[in-house]
Amino acid sequence: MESEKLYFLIDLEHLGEAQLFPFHMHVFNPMTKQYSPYLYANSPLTGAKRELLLQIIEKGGKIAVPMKQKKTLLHQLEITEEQIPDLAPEKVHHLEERRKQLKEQVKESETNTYHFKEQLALAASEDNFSGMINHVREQVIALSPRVSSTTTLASLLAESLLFEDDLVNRTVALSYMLAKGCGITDDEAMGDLVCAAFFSHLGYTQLPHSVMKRAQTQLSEGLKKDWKKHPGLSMHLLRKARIELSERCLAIIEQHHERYDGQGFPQMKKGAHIETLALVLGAASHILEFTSGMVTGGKSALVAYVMNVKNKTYVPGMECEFGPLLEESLAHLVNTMKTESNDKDKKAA
Amino acid sequence: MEGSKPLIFIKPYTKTVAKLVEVLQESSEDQGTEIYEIEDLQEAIQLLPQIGQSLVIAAHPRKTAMLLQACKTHIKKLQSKTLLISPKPIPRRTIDKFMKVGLTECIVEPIVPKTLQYKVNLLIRSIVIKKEEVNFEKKFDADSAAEEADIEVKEIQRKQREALEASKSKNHDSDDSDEEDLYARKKEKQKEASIDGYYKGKMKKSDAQDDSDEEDDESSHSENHIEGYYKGKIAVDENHDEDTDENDEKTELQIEEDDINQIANKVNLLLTDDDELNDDDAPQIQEPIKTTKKAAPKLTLEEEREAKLKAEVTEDIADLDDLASAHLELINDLSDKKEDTSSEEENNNTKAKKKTQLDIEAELPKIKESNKQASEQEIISLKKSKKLNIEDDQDPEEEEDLYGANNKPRKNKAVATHLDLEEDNEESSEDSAHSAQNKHSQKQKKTDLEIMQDALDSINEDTESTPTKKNKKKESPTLEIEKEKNVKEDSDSSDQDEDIYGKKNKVQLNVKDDGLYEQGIEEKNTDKQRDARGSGTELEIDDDSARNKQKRQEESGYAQRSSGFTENIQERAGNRADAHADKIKTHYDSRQGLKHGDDEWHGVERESQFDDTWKRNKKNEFIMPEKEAFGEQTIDYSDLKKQFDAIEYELSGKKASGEFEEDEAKAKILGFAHSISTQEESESEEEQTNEEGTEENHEGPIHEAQLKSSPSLVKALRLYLNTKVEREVVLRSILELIRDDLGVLVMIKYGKGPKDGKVKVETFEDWLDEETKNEIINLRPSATGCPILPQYSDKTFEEKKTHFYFPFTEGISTFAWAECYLPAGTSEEGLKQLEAVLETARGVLLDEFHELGGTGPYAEIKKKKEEETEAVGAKVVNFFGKLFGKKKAG
Repeated sequence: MESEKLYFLIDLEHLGEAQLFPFHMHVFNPMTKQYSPYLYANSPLTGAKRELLLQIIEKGGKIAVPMKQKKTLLHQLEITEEQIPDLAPEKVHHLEERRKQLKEQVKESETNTYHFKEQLALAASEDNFSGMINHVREQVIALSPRVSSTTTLASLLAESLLFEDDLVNRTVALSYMLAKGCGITDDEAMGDLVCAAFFSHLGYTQLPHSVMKRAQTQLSEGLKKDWKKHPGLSMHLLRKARIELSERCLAIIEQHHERYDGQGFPQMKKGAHIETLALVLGAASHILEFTSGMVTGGKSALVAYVMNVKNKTYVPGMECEFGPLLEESLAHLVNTMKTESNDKDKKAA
Repeated sequence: MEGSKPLIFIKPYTKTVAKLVEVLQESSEDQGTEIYEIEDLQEAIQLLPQIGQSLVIAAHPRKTAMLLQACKTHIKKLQSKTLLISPKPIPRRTIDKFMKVGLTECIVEPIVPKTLQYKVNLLIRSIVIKKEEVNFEKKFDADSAAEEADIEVKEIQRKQREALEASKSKNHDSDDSDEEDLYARKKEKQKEASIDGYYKGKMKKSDAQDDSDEEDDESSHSENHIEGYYKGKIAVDENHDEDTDENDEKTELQIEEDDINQIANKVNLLLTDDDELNDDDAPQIQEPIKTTKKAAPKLTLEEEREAKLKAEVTEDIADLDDLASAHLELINDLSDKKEDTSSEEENNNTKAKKKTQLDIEAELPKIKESNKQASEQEIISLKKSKKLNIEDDQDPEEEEDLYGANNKPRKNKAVATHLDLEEDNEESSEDSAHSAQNKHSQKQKKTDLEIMQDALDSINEDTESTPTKKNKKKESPTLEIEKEKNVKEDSDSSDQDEDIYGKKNKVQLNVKDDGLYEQGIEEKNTDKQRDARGSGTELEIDDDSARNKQKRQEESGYAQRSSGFTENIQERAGNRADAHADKIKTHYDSRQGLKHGDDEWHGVERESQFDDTWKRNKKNEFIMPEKEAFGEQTIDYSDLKKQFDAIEYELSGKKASGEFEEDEAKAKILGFAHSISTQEESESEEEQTNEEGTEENHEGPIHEAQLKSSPSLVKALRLYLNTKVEREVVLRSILELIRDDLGVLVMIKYGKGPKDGKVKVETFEDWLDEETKNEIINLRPSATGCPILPQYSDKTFEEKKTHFYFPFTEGISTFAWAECYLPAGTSEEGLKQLEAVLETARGVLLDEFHELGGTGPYAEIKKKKEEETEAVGAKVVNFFGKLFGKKKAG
């Protein structure tokens, strides 16, 4: 809670041409943040004093009146609190207001706490990520607008786009949840990640449409070369659209196909040179692309992918070099899924 | 006080002095001062004599030295004050030399500004302008007359001296005096030179030289005496000298003897005053008199005594100074109590000074040597305070030449007195036995200081009276006038009385000189004295006893009041910030006046506070509890002004505004921008680090973000990612996105290829009339006339119903282009967003282009197809070959 104000600031215009005032006047020095008495009540504000007061105001000083004498001032000057900016209620930014509203909505709808592993398993089994997407939307739109513009943008994007259960939204949701699972909870980082997840594949729009219809493993060398340009093309499109993103967000977009072992693209970065969040996004998008059949041309279940990862059964197009952090996280997810799948198997049996 | 007090500042200034100048300039009107800031020393030298009594403040020791040397006489004559505020400590010896040439005080920095101001104010207050000027003017005529007379006097004196010297061939006295004159002159010059030398970088050398010179001189001087002493001539010389002295004086003044005796009889009682002094000091003085008269005995005495008395001397000095300063403190207290009183005191002080000034003025007509001798005498007296008593009585002899000019009656009287004194010295003052006894008993109670003061009195007395010895009756009328001035207060007394009691008046005045604070008592006493003029001794005793009482009261009062202080008297005495105190102190010992430690002055402040409380208690005043004062006086507007002036100064680089919240935000943003090093300016404005990153953090500013065309882009991406959606649908969906999200109608036309210029897809539909539609369609009929770069019909971005051309190119070939119709116009930013979204159609259009041209992915497809057809053909051939035989087929 903000400590109670002892003084409130008024403008010289409020005083008008009068010379005597039934309230004390102080001057606020913004440098020292101190209030010095200037004119005691019922002392005349002579021309010289008014002139000095003007000088002080020109230098950045403010006229302050003790809060105790607020009513006296308002009565004497015949003005209302609204006419004094310092007394008027603070304007709430529309973003802040929106956030409040969204939060309230979330509170109303929120019944249970979200368990990522369970939800992921459920989504994987049912091939429906709506629940996760909704959860992530609720999380992302609640990001504070005071963190960074990218975070704000993420929030706005989530608000306007994060509804449908499509690949983009799934990528956003899964990367967000993976990051959370990796212990990344910083709002700014999450904002960067969400934005990057939305924009990372914009470059696909610049590739011939037929390329998108082909499995990545089936692309010819030439087309694959073109396909590998998509992170750069994403950056190009974002630049063209003049969408303002943080450095980290752009780095995530650019590096989302980099792999920890240096086998990624476009720069073949390795290890710690890769932005961690880029690895998270890369993992999320790869898992989703792989399971959706974009990699191999044939759809596969998330559970199957997980089992492959667990069993270290590498199939063509499958990537798993996402760094120790993600590996750990994925291993954790795998264990959970394993038990669930076992349970399911048992049930089926 | 019509005229303003001249206050001369000699540049260059130290910081302290500069501040002092500022302060004094501000208060110059109130104090009635006129401030001269002088850079050129010559100017100051010219100004000083003309401006009258003034206060000179300088910070540059060398300049001060030069000024003092140049204006030494004028400073002495005018009683001008010279204050040296030295930034660095100056050796004592040098200060002594300064003092000798007229420096009032030397203050070594650092000094508490208040103390300095107080000191300066005291000095300023001690300057008397108007009166001085009037007197000066009056005196000027008199002086001119006196000068004429003095010239005659000098002439006569010279002749007399020659005659005397001739008559007293064996008399060393005159020789001695001459020698002393020479010696004094020499010494003076040497000391002056040494001061010069000190500030010309020869300090040590010259100092050492000076000292050695002094010693040499003394030793060389004394060598003669020692020689004489060891040759067994002392006794003879002594006796001889005494006899001759007396004889000379007697013979010299034989003519007047009758008159003198008559007067002496008349003022017998008065004369006893002096006798008392002589009586009291007799045991001490008698020998010193001889020593001064005789060269050899003097030395021996000096040598013998100096060793013995040194300890006593220092003690005495301390005591004297303590007591003197105690008095001065009382003066301060009194002045605190009543400003009027202090002003009176000051007046007295100035009177006293004036008196000495007059004495000096009397000297002025005389040759310089007399001056030098006098100053030398003073310095000797300062240095060897114990010798004061001796010198008191020496003065007459040594300063014979100094005070040549005296008025007749006084001279006669004084001569008689002096003669009597001398006789008394020899005969143990039989005439004034009774009074002497009284005096003696009284004086036994006196402290050393009192003796000193009496001695000082006697100095004045003697200096006034004794010079008459060698002067003739017709001496200059100057002193007559001077005396009139001096004895102004007693002007009501008749001429006859003045003649008779002239000396008594003088004594009174001298008493006043010493006990200025006793004026009230003095006045009463003088009344009494006038009532009982016949018993001057009693009066003197009264004076003394009164003074003693007063002193004791004051001392006791002082002791009471300062009982809370642990400092000893010496320290307390040293804390007096009083020009008068300094003057007297420096008179005793110039070094005493040079203590200006800050601690001491803190003591003064404490004591003044204590004084205040004491006064309040004494007055039984009801003291209002001090609480925060309300009222206009309590608001220091100048301070406020300064505060805000400082703001301007500190914000000089920034906007002079009080919106510091904004500034802080900017600073944070800058910090962030710095941390991320390269961000677009607009971006850095909006972004900010947030280490906490908590949702509850409301401290940071809101960072706005603009979605711009990002939702459209993502939507377009979705279309691409959905493999089920056909190419044409994707394109159409993108155009609809553009229409719905951006409000732009788009028509896509084929570019290079077989369908060049044909409309592929458009979203105009019913939104546009046929005419406009046709207009847009016919804008660019084929790809050949299409520019490579996008074009917008309105470069001002102000028009409505504008057109936008956007080509899709690969290499140099435009494979398609978009004709956009913007019914509401757009901005540059809007156009960029449109461009970006249009760009998302590229994948679809490019795919079709490749398909039509058989390039890109379609080249592979074509190849495959060809391969497939080839393979099919081969199969057919093989089939027919089998049927018709290979050879045939081949």
